[in-house]
Amino acid sequence: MIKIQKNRLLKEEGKVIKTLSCPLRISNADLDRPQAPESQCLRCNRKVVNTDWLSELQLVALLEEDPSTCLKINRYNPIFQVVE
Amino acid sequence: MEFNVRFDRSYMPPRTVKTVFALDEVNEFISQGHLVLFEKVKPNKKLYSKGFIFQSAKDSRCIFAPSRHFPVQHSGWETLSEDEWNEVMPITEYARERSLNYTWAAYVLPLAPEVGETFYVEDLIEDILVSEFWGSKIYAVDGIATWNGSALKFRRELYDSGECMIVG
Repeated sequence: MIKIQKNRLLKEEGKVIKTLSCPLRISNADLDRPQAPESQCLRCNRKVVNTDWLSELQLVALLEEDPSTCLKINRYNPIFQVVE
Repeated sequence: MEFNVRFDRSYMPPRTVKTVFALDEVNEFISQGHLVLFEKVKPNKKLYSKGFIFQSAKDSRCIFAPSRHFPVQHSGWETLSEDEWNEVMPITEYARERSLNYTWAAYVLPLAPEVGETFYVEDLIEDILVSEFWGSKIYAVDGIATWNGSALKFRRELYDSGECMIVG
């Protein structure tokens, strides 16, 4: 399980694998295909990967390759534990 | 799946509005001086899920699927061919089962509510779809509302689908 704490994604052993740094408050309306595996942000034109489609292993591999990848995360996705 | 509103209640926690479903409870609160607001319980069309029970022609195993061709979370698309899977029957499910058991409910306000006072509503009567996750409906179970002297005005923006989402 990946923990999300203070805008950081952490692996179980505590290693930070990504910092969420989007300054915009993005909703589904800001993505061209919000339910698709990948979409484009209509506000900054960057590609956004929908983590609903990824396993935990796939996500970790993706972020190890490019930690600046933009992610769309559903708080109810069981691969995440959101710590407020 | 249940959705709880994301609202910081640690600073000046609002008083709580209770929800009751029986007239004897309603009358008990009225006798104590509480204001009670009745509301009909109405299922929300968006909380229904439709699909089918399919049975394998090979080993008779039965499964639920939304259709013969559907996306699978970690492995693309799956197709249930007519040769291998027989459609048993279409089925419909409702995400918030509780709402199918009642036709009305009532909010019980704390004593002496002030106009403009904000309350935490611990058990929302209205059925609201907030978001979905792979076919699972995420529905609201609580809320934040302000008393205007005659009704509770709910903070609807707290049920925006973006509340379930983080982008960055």
